[in-house]
Amino acid sequence: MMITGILITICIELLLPVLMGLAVSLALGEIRSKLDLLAQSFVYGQIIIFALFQPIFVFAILKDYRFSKGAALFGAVLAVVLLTLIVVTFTGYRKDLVKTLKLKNMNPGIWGIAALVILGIMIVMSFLKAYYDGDDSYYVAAAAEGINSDSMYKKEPYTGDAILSPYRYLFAPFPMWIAFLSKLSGIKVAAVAHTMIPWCMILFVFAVMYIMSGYLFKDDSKKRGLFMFFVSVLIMFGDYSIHTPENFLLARSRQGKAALASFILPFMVFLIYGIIREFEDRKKVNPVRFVLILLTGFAGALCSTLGGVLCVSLTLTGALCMLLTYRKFKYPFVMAICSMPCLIFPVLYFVMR
Amino acid sequence: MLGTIMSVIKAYMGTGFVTVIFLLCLVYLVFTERDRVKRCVFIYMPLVVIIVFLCPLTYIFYGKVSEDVTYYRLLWLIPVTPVIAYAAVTYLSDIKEGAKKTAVTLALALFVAFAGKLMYTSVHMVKAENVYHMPQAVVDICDAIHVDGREVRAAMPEELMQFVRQYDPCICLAYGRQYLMAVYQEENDFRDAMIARDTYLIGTLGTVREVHYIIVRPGEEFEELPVNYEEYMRIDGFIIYKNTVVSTEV
Repeated sequence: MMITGILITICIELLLPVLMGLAVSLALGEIRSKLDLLAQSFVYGQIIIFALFQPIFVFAILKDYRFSKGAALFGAVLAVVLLTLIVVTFTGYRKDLVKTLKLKNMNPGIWGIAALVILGIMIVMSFLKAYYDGDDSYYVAAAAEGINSDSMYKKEPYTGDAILSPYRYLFAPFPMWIAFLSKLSGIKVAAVAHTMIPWCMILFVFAVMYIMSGYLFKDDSKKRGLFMFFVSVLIMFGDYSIHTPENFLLARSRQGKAALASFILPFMVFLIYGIIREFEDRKKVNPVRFVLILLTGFAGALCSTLGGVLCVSLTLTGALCMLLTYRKFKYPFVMAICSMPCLIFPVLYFVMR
Repeated sequence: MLGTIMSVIKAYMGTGFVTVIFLLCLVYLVFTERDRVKRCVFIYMPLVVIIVFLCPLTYIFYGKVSEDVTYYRLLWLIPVTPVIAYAAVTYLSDIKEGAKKTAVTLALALFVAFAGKLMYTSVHMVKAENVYHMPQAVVDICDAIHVDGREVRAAMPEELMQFVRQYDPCICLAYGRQYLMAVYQEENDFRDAMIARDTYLIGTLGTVREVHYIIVRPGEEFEELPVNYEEYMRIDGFIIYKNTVVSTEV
């Protein structure tokens, strides 16, 4: 049972995002190796999954659905989107996929290997070391309660009493994502949150940084390896305060704000870089990048009520800098507009609280 | 106002060495980076965020829409790690391949490592006792008082409180973490009675509130049993008292 559960979790955490993200990776191009394809698909896919999860679960919570009904609804939508994306991948991008799969993997160099070793250490340590954080008694307990009572935000996670004001948290239902993984895998919520989420979150962060290195250094694999080495050192030694994204990643990876700080926001920086880079090189931008901005905003809103606001703030900052640099209005405007829809969740919170 | 903002920055920076490195990298890139896109994302964007963050109006607005204590989260918009890593690679790319480059790379990495702090040396980071990453005593106690098919209520020592409902949501708490956090300022007379060790009040309130179990730390057992409670068992040194009036039957 436990082994089946672990396999199911690995499939949802690794295989599913890769399948979801293949079409997006191939649509954007910029793939220099098989590892690039894998890393990009992994990240894009997870962003799509989070972006679907957020509106469906907020809707389900507001409609007072049972957790299982919300999960079934999400599962159905996810299945449809997955099938559509697979069909798109194997019909629209079949040639690109075949061509990409023939690419050779790059030589990461000694520093790239060192980065991989540090990544391995972090993953192993995520199993061996525990970080006791008081906030888990809300987030993880909310997930556990979701499964136990098949309800969402009806009980105060701290005590199990009836909840007085759920609004602070229900517009960012990241705990329900943990509950969803637990429900499908049959593994206890606490084990999923503390053992199955951390290594996956570390992989997401490394994947984001890896694809960013591809945009920064193109085919120079040694520079990419060196970049990843410094990134891994900075993450591993990021405990200079308890507020840094690195600290959140390694200490509190099962909390939505950790995903926001260390995964979603750096990915948004990468997206902004990609848009400006493509505009600089080709004077036009692939619309898929703007769709990703929109989806990343939704993913940010899933992680934290403030997440949507931070994603929009970051995009507006990028749009402003692009506008001042190029004196062209169109793409910064589109970028800003595409980031806005996720504000619906914090706005709903302010209206309903 | 600016003093408050500076104190937020100070708390975020910790020792401040990594922040100094980041600022040095920013200055280095200002003078060396010629690519407009990289300047835009790695120089202008962080600068805009820093300016906005330091603006008192932002702090006032943030305080209106969220809690002041989380103001530091705006600093997450600065891509500190990519900027430092990128600046380091740019600096090193000017050095020819060979022993010198390896030595400088190692020196830079060590410098960055010593400027920061290894995550695994944190006092909060402990050896995992199980897959749930919580003290084994919590798991043992929860398993002992769990009743299939119904919820039970327990009063837990403060150090175990945060784990109980993560592991087993069928166990409700007589008082939870919110009573420990000054931000909530909630009161709970049962907890007050526990702190005062008023066995009469504990027993009376515990029975009225249907607190099936009271768990106390090793060495803190009640000299006089609370009214309506009896010693049920001892697990990992913790003493479990069970209410004799309120039933735990399904």
